[in-house]
Amino acid sequence: MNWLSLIVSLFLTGIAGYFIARIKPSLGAWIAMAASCAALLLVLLGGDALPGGPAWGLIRFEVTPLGWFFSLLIILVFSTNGIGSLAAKGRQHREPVYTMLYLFALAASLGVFAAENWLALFIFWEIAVWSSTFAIGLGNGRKGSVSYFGMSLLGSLMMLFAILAMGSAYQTFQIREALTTALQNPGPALMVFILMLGSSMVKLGIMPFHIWMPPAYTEAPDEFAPALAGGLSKLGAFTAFLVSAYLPISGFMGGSWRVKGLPALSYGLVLLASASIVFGTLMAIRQEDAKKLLAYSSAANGGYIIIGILMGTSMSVSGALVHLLAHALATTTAFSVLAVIVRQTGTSRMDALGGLAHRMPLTFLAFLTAILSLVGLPPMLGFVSKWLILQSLASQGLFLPAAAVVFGSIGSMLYAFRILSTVFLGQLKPRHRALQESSPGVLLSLAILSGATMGLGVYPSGLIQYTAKIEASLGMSETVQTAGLSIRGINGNLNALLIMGAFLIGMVIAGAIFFKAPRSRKVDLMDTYTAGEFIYSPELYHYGTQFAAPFERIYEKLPSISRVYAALASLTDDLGNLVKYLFFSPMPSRTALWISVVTILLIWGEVL
Amino acid sequence: MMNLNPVLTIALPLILAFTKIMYRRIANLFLIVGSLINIFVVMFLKEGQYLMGGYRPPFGIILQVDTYALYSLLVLNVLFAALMLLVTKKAENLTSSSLIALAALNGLILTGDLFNLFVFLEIATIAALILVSSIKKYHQAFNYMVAGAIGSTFYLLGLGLLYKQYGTLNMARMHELMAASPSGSAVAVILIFIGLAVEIKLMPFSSWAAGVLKNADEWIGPMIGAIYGGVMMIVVGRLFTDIFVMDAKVRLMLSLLTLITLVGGEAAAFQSRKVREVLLYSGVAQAGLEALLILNGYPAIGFILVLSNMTAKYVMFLLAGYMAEEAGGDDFDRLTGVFRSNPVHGFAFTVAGLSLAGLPLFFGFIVKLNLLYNLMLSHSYWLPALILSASLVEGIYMLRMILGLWRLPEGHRGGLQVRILGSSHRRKYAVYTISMVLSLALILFGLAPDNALSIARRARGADTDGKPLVLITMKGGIGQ
Repeated sequence: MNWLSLIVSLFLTGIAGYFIARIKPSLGAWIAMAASCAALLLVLLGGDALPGGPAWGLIRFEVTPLGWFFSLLIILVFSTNGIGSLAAKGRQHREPVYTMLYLFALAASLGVFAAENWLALFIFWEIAVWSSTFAIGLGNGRKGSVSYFGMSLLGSLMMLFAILAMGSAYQTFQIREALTTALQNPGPALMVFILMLGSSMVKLGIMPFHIWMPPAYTEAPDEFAPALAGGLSKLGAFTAFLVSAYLPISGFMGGSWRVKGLPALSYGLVLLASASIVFGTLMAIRQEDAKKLLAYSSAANGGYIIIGILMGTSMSVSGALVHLLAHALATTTAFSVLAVIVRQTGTSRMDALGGLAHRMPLTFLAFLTAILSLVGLPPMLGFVSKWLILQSLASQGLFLPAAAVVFGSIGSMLYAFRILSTVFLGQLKPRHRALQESSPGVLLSLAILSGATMGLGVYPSGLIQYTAKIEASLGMSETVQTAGLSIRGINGNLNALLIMGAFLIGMVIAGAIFFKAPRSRKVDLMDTYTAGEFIYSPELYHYGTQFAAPFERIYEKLPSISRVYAALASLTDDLGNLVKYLFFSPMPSRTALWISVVTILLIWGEVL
Repeated sequence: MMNLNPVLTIALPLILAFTKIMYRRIANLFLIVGSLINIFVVMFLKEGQYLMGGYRPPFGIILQVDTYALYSLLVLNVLFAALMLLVTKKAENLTSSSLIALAALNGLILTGDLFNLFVFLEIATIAALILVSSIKKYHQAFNYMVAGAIGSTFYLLGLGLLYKQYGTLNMARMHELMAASPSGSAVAVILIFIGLAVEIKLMPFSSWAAGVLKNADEWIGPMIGAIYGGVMMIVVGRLFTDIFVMDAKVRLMLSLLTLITLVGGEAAAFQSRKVREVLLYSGVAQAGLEALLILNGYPAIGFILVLSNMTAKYVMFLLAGYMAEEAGGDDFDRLTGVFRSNPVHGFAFTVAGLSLAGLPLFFGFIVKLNLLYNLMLSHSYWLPALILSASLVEGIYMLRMILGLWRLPEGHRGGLQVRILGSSHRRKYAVYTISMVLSLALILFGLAPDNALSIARRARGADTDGKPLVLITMKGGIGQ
């Protein structure tokens, strides 16, 4: 088995799946699940020594440690999500074409991660974009798929421009060769770097390119949102790693202006990513809808990843890789849980939910691990990654970005625990009494995801050793070090197992108090009295209702980037209108007039 | 191997057009058989020059079959015959004009004489006018007539000036003379360009196209929007690559016109909310791009761009015509979800649209890739950036339209219950077959484009203006 045959068979299974699902719709989900699980098994067993397979023209594969890491990540997301959505009875999910698009998106992503040259990478990138666009289009809204496609296209055209600029300047499309040649002859190197990183930022949803995320995540079919948020948006990080490893800013802008030891451009981009963290956090706090909240939190988390990549130290790159995995696992879990909730209750608005932990305790536990990891608390993987990134920021004395990271972490407690408590804690709404625990398939997939989040959080050494291998394969001179069970930091080592132990002791004490103390009496939500205010619906009792109302006035004054995009679109519309009015009128005389005017102008220009 | 005379592709349809008058009852048959025989003839054409009436050039009229003409003829005749297979009651009255149109279009591609080209241009325009009047929008047909008349007058005027200066109408001879002393010919070349700009729908000369194509049915849309536009662009490719010699200033001025067309057309398409309107304005924009490439010394890329756009537009106009007919209009809101009940049509339309927008897996992507790469090789970054911005706009409106046509409308569970062509079985399967074959061809050429690319290179030379044509192929990567 090799990479080419893996991808080709995924594509073919997708097409076959479409036809089978047309005959028997329920089989579609099984095919998507089986194919992605088989791919997972294959990639796990084959390891990064899996051969790329024969070259099929431009389409050549080469499995690198970095590519393998990303591939494993995305297959893990796709296969667990496949298991989780087996029982889904959603309309969109039952569409025969969904199976095909799902597997196409997976196969194309695997193509991106193992592509040997930029053209092959771009081709698979675009296939991933349009197949996921159509998959989002199967959902409920109008806006999501179009804004996702529009922004993705902006990103991919930036990338195409950079690829062709490299190809025409250096006569090569080979990934490493093109970038390293650019480093030696930095003609268009700056342009290439900016465009490539821009396209990564679009995919990761970094400000000001984040606008596709909230509509796409909310409108995508519930079963597709985990794959999109956890898996596909990570494509951007892959190219960012490649570009900053082989074409580091310090390489082509070495001597010129430096801020805190970093080239000015790096520092500026790090600041942009920091701004994305702050902004994403502020916006997430404000949301009323759980999916939108997670979308903005993804914009913030993309910031951490980009900071880690741009810093370029061994710790920061490891931190970015770990954060990528942590965020993928956590968002996939969170969106899978939301999918279950939306399927049962029909809403993802936080104030319409509440108390679900009483009905689905196991789902709650999985969600809890995801949220803890997202916030960056031990013993979850998210803690390890934030620790690594903060360590390297601190060691470089980058105060502003470090402040942003800390702000984002504290802010994330505000929004992440809010989603946890508004959805799962508090009192159950009367109409939700009949809710049921998630199906075994969902629980299995949640168990795998949370198990990975917690397992790797407690014992990160193996993972760190692999990120060190990736760093070595990218040609970094220093790699992150582990010592036994702990990771070597700059001002101390991280022993996650020790932390877990401390955590457990705390848990035991808390448990003892909980079990010893007298129990509180359960009161029905509406079984209460009000003082002065008449509360007639369960929503009004919910503290999530209008949670951010006091902040709204502050937010209103913030400049909104989506207004810029809207203005651009309406500008294009106006131009179109003008063109139609001037040049496409139904009056033949106007045409004749234009012909004469242009003729006169052209001949005048010629004679002059 | 048989070697047929290319004049057959012109004479046969003409003869059939006039004999048909005597056999009205089997007019359909004439049309189908005539266009199918033409494909057959084209397949057995050999490259070379064919003298008419035994006069040696530059005195006599010659027909010139080179790779360029040969593959243009092939695509033209196949697309034309496919359209004829969909012949309806309405088209029966148009048999003669369709056959005449075919003869004239073949002639336009083949002729090696500039005045002969004018004659074919006139015949083609008049035939098109009759075809267009079948949609019963007489005001629009009248517009078309006026614009066409102005266009051919300009062409004739320019040609007269050239004849006065150089004393020949033969294309090859004209090129020799012009290359030797190009000064003073600029005004004539500008006039000829404007004359043809009307036909290839460059702004601001293309208001007729909006009127005609907005209301086009499944017959007129592919005919005028795809076939006519494509053939006229092939003529422009012939004249402005092989024959006329322009100085840099004229080239720049004309390029400016094409750039305005590209930008304006995309903006107008972005603003449109009706399927055929989107297609027609995007066609205008594409014409701008094609002409830009031809004028600036990228004729090979221009050539495959013309052929790939022609095929994609053909499929889209065909299906748009049917959709509009069945649903009684073609605004997006009315057609929301139409592909749910017509998935095969939806597939073909989607493939054509994605190819037009230049997305990978489809032929359009390979063309766009090579186009941008060659522009960049000549160290121009502004033009590729502009073209990419235009294709960003194009991608957005194209996908917005396609997604809308697939999306389930609110409240409808099964999608819009408009069956495209539920009535007649023969037509239904003909449309299925044609749109599927053409869209699969776009995928096939997208996956294995190397042959098409090498044909384009052979057709339009590997070297124009000192810029080597470097093709990125699927098989070997970059190659000279």
